[in-house]
Amino acid sequence: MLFTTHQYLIFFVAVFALYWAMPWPRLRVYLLLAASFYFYATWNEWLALLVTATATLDWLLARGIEVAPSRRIGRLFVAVSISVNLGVLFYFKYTNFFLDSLFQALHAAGVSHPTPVLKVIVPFGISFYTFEAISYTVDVFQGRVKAERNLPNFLLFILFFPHLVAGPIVRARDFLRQAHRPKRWSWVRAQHGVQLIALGLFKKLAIADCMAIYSDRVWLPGQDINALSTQAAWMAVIAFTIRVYCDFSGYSDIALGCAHLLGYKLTVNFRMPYISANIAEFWRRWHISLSTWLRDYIFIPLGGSRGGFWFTSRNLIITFGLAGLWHGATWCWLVWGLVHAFMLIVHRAFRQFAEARPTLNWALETRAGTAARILFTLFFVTLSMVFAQPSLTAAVSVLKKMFVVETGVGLPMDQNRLWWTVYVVVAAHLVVFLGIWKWLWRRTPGPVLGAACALLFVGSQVLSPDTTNAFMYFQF
Amino acid sequence: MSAVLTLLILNAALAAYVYLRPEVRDPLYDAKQQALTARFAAHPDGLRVVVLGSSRSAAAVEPKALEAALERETSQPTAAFNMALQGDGPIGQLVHFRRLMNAGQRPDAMVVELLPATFSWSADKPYDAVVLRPDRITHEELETVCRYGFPEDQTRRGWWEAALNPWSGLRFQLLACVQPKWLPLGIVQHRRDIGETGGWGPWEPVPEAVVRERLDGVRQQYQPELKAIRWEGPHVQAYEDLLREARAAGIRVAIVVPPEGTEFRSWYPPDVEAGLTAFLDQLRREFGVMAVDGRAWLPDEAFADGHHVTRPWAKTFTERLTREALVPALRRSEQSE
Repeated sequence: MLFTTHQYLIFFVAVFALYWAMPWPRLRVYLLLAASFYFYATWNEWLALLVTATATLDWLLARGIEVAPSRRIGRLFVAVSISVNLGVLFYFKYTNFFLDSLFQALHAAGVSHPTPVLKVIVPFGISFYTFEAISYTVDVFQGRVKAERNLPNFLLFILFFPHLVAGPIVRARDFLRQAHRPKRWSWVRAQHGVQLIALGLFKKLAIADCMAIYSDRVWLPGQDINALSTQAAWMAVIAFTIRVYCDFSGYSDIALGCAHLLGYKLTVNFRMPYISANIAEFWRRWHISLSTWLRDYIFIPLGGSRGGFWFTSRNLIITFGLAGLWHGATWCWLVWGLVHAFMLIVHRAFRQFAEARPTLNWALETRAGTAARILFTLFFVTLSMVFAQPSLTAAVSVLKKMFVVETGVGLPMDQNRLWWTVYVVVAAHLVVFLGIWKWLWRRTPGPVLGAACALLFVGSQVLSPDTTNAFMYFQF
Repeated sequence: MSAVLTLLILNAALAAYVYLRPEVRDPLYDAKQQALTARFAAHPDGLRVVVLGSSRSAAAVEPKALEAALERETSQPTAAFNMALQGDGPIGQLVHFRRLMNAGQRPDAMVVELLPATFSWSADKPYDAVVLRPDRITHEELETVCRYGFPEDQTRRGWWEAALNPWSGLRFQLLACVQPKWLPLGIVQHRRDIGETGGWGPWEPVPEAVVRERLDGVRQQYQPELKAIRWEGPHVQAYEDLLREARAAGIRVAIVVPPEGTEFRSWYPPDVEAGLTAFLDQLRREFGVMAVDGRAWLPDEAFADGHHVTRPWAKTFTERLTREALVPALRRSEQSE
């Protein structure tokens, strides 16, 4: 059930109405739990049961950690929790990747045997809820959060439908507190939720889905990339860069908006990442719930940046290599992660270099310097997007097309819409970056803002192309 | 609250507008019908000829050439209009024919396209169900298309979604009003641009390399459809009902299978070929119509993509069609009278 369908609208309105009409507030958790289970089960009921079963096991193990007679037994429970969660993740998501890689290596060594393929469906959002479950048991073990006594509350933390399939990756300490708190209707909060939903729908339907028409010419498997002209390759990559941001941040906005309407606050996932002045800042603004998870549960436990340059670089490579594989079980995604690790390492080295030179540092901090850094960062982030796909060969072909000037065929649709979308995205970023949005926000009466939201909603529907594309991050 | 209220008002306003002016659902048809009405009004005493079909006939039949050829052959003043619409198959043709009749625009003769690909039946639905989307039709037509094999639940749901949330359901029609270039590919282009005089929508000639490239895309789209052609079922019933209603209204009909390049013709499975020949024979027998297979009438260089005729060749095709199908249809009818 996609957030952008009439089916979801009916589902959400029904849940919302029942939720706030319910005279016994305690039952609200059960209602949300049932709705969340139904939400996932509309796609696959067996996998909905699997998620519920693993979550129940995590709840039991966390209780066990808390009452464990010794630290060693607690550690054993954590190990079991991590093994089960990662085991399920590996089975569904990575088995075919490893089998394929293993048999390719064997073929290279001269062993001829057909590559076995495991017929499994990758559960939607498995990478998201696996990370949530792991962070919970680790946090309980480290004493950062108390083990939840109430099973429905804990199941809701994992299954809560707005964040279930594509995040944000919520933390137990943020969510469980809210599950316990009685909910009171708030107009301000509802207004904020509706605004987020309208904005998210516009990003997804009017921008991301339209950009998909251009970028699919490169990103869909089986496309003849070599037939493209250099200009078409660049335009497809620009379209993909806009698409991936608007698709995922649009999803996050709708998720946050729906959660607000039900009285929950989820983690903000994006803070305009394309105006980052360097790659480290980009990762503080892009998919924040994942980057902070990686920081807290991989980078810091590895030693973080407490050692020297090479030690930190090693940790960055491991962390971002895993981040790449988290996105997709392909070599191309691994390269994508390593490209980002490399950019972060170069940035660290350059920052140290610049800090030792006050004039250079001053120049970089000026308005012109900041603008140049933003463009430089955006350029490399855009280039890295080429690797955000299943095929390494295709990624190399696209890069070659981009930098070796060639004639060829153009993109399937008129360019006019692509460029207008670029102008709108740039203008929207400028409006927020220059503080115009905040200024407007404070001075515009509520009813006018509400009407503007409705117009945004209508606009997103009118500009939506025919295809109902699933959100890109569902596959992760 | 104001967001929800504004949304309800906007939706209700558009829904009311669509209810009062249902023609906004199908802008290209509406534009063509208005042009046809004006053209026929300007020629009240002449022979009135209408062409029904898909973009193939829209490109291949040049009304001016048809008028000239028919006037030469029959010595009667003629007004011809090409009402062919992108993607119109047997059910779409029936729906549009009925609209024409309801609007009081009864022609004296019709050229009715028989495009084999539009007789395909895949994923448990007729070809027309993909093109004639529920947002394009009225509630009465919804009943019609459901009777002729459109998937009932899906079509009814789509129609009600478009009626209750017209900003989403009619988005392509709305977008076509302000920025037609932004319409995505692969859907009916709801432009009110009817092409040239008489509704003709010619394709321009392109270099051989472009034709080859387009032909690859055409192959991917049409090869599976040609394999899925069925010469029986509700869509065939719709085609026959169209002929039946035309006969009842005293309209003389010439059926034509539009021209195709050699490569396109090679994609037909043998049983489909045999089925087409048998179906044409059956129509001739049952309805007394002229039915011609014009697939091989033009050379390969006449096509912009292997199956759409280019501007310079439309006249050649139209003249032959008039000579070999339309004139005999008119004469046969005169004899029977």
